[in-house]
Amino acid sequence: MILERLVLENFRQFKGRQEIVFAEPGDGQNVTVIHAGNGFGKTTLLNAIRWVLHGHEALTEDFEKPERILHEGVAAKARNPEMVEASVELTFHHEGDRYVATRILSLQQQRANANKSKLSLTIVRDGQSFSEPSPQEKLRKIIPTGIRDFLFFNGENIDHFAMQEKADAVKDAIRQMLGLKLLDNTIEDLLGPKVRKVFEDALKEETSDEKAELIERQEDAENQLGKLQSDLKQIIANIEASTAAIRDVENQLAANQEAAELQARRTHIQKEKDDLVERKIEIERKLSRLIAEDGFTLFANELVRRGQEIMAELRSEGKVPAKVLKEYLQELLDRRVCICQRDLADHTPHRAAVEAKWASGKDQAFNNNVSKLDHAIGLIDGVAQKTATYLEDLNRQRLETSIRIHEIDGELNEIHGKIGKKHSNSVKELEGKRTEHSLRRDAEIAAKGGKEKEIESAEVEIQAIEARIEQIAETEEQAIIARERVKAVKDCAEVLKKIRDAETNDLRPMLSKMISDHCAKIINRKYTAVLRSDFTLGVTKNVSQLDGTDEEMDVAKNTALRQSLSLVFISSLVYLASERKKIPTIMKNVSGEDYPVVMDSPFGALDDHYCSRVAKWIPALAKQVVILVSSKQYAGPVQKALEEEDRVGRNYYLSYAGPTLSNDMDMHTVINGRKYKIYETSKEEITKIQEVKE
Amino acid sequence: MQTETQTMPKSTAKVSSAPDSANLTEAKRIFRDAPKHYQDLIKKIMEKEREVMHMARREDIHLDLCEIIRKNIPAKS
Repeated sequence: MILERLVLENFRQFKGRQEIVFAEPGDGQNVTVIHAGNGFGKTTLLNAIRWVLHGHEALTEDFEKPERILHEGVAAKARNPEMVEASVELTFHHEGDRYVATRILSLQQQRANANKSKLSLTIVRDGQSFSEPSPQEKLRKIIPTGIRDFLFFNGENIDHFAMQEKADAVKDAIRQMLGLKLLDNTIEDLLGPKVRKVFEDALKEETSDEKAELIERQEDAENQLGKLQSDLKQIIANIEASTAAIRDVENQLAANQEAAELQARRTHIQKEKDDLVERKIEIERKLSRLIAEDGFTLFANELVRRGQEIMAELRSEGKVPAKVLKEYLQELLDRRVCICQRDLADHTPHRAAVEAKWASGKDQAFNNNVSKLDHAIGLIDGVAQKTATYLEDLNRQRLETSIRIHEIDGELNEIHGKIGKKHSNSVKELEGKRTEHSLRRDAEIAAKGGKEKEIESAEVEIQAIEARIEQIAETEEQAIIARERVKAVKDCAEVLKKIRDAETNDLRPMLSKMISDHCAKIINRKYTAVLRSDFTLGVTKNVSQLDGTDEEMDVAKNTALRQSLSLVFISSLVYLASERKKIPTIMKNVSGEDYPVVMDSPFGALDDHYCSRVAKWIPALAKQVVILVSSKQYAGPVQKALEEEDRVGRNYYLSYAGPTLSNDMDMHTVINGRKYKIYETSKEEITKIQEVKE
Repeated sequence: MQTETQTMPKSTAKVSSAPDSANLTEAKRIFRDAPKHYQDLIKKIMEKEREVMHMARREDIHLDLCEIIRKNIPAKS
């Protein structure tokens, strides 16, 4: 979506018909700047765009009196409330088509229910116009609700995107913008009660009693599995929440002078412990496998020894291997001549003697088996020795790891005790909170293990039922088809899950890297920004440790840093969404788009360094940028950066007229060295959009 | 009609480059490994899902998906 033109008519203080033409990406001058003093209408303009796209529900919290959309003066003088209207018209292009969205609210409707405005959407394609029958749905398709707040936002209120409580919104926006949400929806729909169940019911109708019963059992088991998985999801979410809470508390402790050193040490050894725990799990996994596969060899020593003795005895008696093979005796009988040249004709005593030898003789297979037995006994002996050595080694590793974990636990307890005894009440309180969160997380981790085991059992049960169903011969044709359909639903959902996981695994680190690169450019090279696996944003910096090494630590984010980080995140997301088109994917459906970024007062909390960086880099990352800004915020580093990059394609300012003007208000503003009148007396309140003359 | 340009940002402002396509073949590989008739079915299902993706109400999607599956695996007459 690239914005072309916004036309307001009697929308709040924007009396009459007024318009803004936006700078478009083509020649690199992709920034539209709208200069306005406080209270002149910046937030109203932002909300006009949000309102035309998504209606009343999209208005921001700071948009006061949302039930009064129509210009108050116009409304007051209206004779026929049906004929007086406020409207916003937005022209934009998207995927090669031009769209004109118009939202209208009559005074009559405003009085009845301002939430119910009238929306129309015209699509212009190849010079022809079409009216979209479902305009709201179409607009939601172009700008999904979940990403609206990341594209059209009040810059003074965006720092929360970098905070834990917004993690879900961030996660949702990323998934929507990258097309992963489509996969989520599809999987959920396929496996939900209205698709899979429909075909399973059909299968039940078409199938034998025995199979019907099995299918019913399978259904119950799958429902149970679904419930267990949902429980597990909740447990994981709880663990993540506790982890984030611990991290927050630890950040605060790290920022506290009294606890900083101990906290740094705790972070360091906790990381070492986490690695060791992971290593111990791996060692135990290897141990389990070794015991399951080769453990028996350790108890086979006596058997191996006895086997070797028996074989030696048989060898010494000449019983193994067989010296004269049955095959050779048969050959002699067939030739009717013995090896000693005696005649072996029928009914002769010599033939009878050879036949008796043949009957008790051994064939080549016997000798082969003797060799195999020798080999197997030798092998077991060898494996037993290797198993014993490997087992000893693994046990030693497990013991060493356990000892070190135990030592670390001791040190962690010690640190906990020391921090808890600090004089500062705030430190004590933080440590107390940390303990609470840790206990909660430990309980959830224990619950997670139990739940995973239950899930494993449920999966085994389902597999067994499925295998039994497969075994039952299917004769009825309709039942075969019904079964195929059920299988197709499940298999397709499974493929989609794998695709979704693969795409998520590929895209998250990519976005994380972009955020990190852009953070280095916009914020500071000392900091590293990451998008963690739980999709929360983090900023870390290298802190020198007592032992001379560097340790990455979370930065306790201040407002300016959070705001800058949020801007980095938004622009990285928009940039990746645009680049997403270039990434090969399974089909066109999962693709990204170009999006504009409309920012109201984004520079308020930023110092000169951040202002300059944000002004330089955001227009480089987003295809189109609209900045609503006060002249005071604009003058200086923002203007300098935008001019150096030659980014500004369109320049407007808002002028205000009202019945009561503040005495200390400056009647003029200076933009690009020219003076413009922005303030005058009028009987009614009116904001006018004026283009800055070059 | 105005056409959308795909011009990249100004050269002075270098940004992270687009990811190498070779790194992103896993999802494609999974899709290609699926049986051909599942690939067709998935494509049709996804097309239908995309149509309704951002709708506030998506009641009919389930009926549509069932219909796609029935057509893809038809009953013998």
